[in-house]
Amino acid sequence: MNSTEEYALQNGAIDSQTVLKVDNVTKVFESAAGRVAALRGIDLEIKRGEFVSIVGPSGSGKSTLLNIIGALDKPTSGKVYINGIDIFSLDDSEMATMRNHLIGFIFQSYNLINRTTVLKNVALPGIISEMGSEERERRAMRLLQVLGIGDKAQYKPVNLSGGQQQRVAIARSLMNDPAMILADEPTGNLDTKTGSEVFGLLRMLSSKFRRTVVMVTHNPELAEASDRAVYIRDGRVEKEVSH
Amino acid sequence: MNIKEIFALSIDALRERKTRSALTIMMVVVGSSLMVALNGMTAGFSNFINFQFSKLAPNILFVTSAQSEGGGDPFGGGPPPAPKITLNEAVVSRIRSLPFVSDVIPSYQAGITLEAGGKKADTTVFSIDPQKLYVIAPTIEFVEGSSIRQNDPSAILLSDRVANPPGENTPFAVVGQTIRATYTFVDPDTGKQESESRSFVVSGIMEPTGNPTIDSAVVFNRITGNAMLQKAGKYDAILVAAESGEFVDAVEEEIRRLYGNDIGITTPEAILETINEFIAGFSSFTTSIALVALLVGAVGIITTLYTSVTERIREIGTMKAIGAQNSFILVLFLSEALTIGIIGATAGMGVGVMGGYVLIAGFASQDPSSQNMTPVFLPQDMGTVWGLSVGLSVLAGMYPAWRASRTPPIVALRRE
Ligand SMILES: Nc1ncnc2c1ncn2[C@@H]1O[C@H](COP(=O)(O)OP(=O)(O)OP(=O)(O)O)[C@@H](O)[C@H]1O
Ligand SMILES: [Mg+2]
Repeated sequence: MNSTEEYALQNGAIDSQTVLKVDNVTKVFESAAGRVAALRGIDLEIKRGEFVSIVGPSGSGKSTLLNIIGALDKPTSGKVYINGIDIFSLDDSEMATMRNHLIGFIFQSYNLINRTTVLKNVALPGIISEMGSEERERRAMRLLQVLGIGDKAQYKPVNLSGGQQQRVAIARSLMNDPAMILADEPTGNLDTKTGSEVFGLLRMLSSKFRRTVVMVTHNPELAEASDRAVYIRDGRVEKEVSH
Repeated sequence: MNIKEIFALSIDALRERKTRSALTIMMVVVGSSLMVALNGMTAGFSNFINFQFSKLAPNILFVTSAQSEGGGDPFGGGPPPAPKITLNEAVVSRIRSLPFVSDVIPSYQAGITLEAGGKKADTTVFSIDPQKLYVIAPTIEFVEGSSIRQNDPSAILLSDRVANPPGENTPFAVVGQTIRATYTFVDPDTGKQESESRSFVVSGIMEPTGNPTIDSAVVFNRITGNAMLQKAGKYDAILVAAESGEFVDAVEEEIRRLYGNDIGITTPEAILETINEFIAGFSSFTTSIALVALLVGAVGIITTLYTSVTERIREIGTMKAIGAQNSFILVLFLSEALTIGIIGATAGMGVGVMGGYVLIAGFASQDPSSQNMTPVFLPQDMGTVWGLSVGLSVLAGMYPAWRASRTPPIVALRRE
């Protein structure tokens, strides 16, 4: 049994339980310009299969929170649990493994590797987790098909439209069957129509495939279309609205 | 770790920046090929010279009077320093009586000017008993029609170099031709410049022997030499033939016992040693030049990869965000350095071999006697250079790769 399956199993075992728990997280940036308290004590719980939007004005700390949830950045204080694991008690290498297996990232600017093919981009998390090459290719191909860009597998990402590139990024985030998909303004660079298509795909992942999705957005319509919207202001949770 | 996939990614990265990668590879090629070419050339030199010396008689000692040191005037004026010992017939007979000595050949040497059919040539005369040439250079051969006459005062032997000057299409002189030789000197009594001319008949032409004393000189009878060159019985050099090569040291010791350091003794072995020392020095000099070129290549790799790390910082951040370990990033960039090193070093081997031939040809074109000199490329030398180039490349990649692997993901992602 490979570790991906183990994680998946673990994932199943805590079905309908808490996938993510954020416990009184603060973040202070010290820079030449001075101290900025970006997060001032955030508490948050997200259940498996939930689709949560994080909304708030610019500079309110949304990205900072998402980066901490995804173990890309460390909090100044507080704890984050994913599948019950205190992620900041892990060392760098374990944290990388955790990102690889439990988290799928989607960025506003796609962050694809343009010199290589779409298929290879999607397969990259599998290369890192040392998935067998046959399974890797098959899985990456199937994800591209599910996302409606199976015919673009051998293209270079630069030759795709923004919406298509974001689909590649979504496929990549799903490669290792993560417990949670984190998306920071995934529709921010897209026009309204393409944006709602991409949102529709994320929504489908959650409703049809029971994926947990946490999405930062500026778009109130998208926030309303999620299971729950968490409003953030000045580094604090202002209110939560379930739909 | 999935080495194969990592390599595929690095090769893609190198391909993406073709010009820069090609230039960096070129720097490695320059360094490694320079090293191979220079090594091959010096090994070729060394081989050639050892081969040339193998043709010399191994049993000959070259005896001269040691010049007293420190005398004379530093500006080159004034009388030449006085020899400590006069090499005359008495010295010859004392040496002849030593054990293991089979022959003693006294000689005069001087610079003279030859004239033949309106052409002039400056050369050195080596005045000995012509028959003794066979003792000094046992392999010596003469062109057809030559005759070696022991006591003919007007016979002269020309080396091939003098008879057929390199780069000219007509011979300077042929066998049987009459030529004129002029010796110019300062009369010790009057201090005036005088000259002495004589006519000679070319009795023979010597094929190259490998002995530099003979190969660029002319030879005539010692009686004539004594008179014409104003030597008054003072020899310039005495060639001593030991019974065989193994007695050379014993004979040298005996002569030293008689004359101490007032006499200069040179053996073919000593000359060879000196030349080989020179070649070794030359070789380490050229090697250090090539090493510098290789280091410049390594700095090129550092620069290239460092730039690449900076440009690809977002990509590094993305890879870390999707779970790449530090070691994955490290190996990714190191394998770029390794690829540059392997391609550069391998191409460098080929270019270096060609370069070695070009360098040697360049030298040979200036000196026809080294026409059949070829560079020597030893597999273990080439292997060392290859390994060194690849190793240095990886070493150069270390710092940029380490920097890349150490960048925290959030820092890498935030950078624009
Ligand atoms: N590396 C950093 N150094 C210093 N201050 C930072 C850093 N990153 C973020 N901040 C500050 O922290 C606060 C929150 O930033 P954050 O990027 O989380 O906001 P955001 O809600 O994502 O905004 P936007 O909607 O514009 O993306 C801001 O005041 C920002 O200037
Ligand atoms: Mg943001």
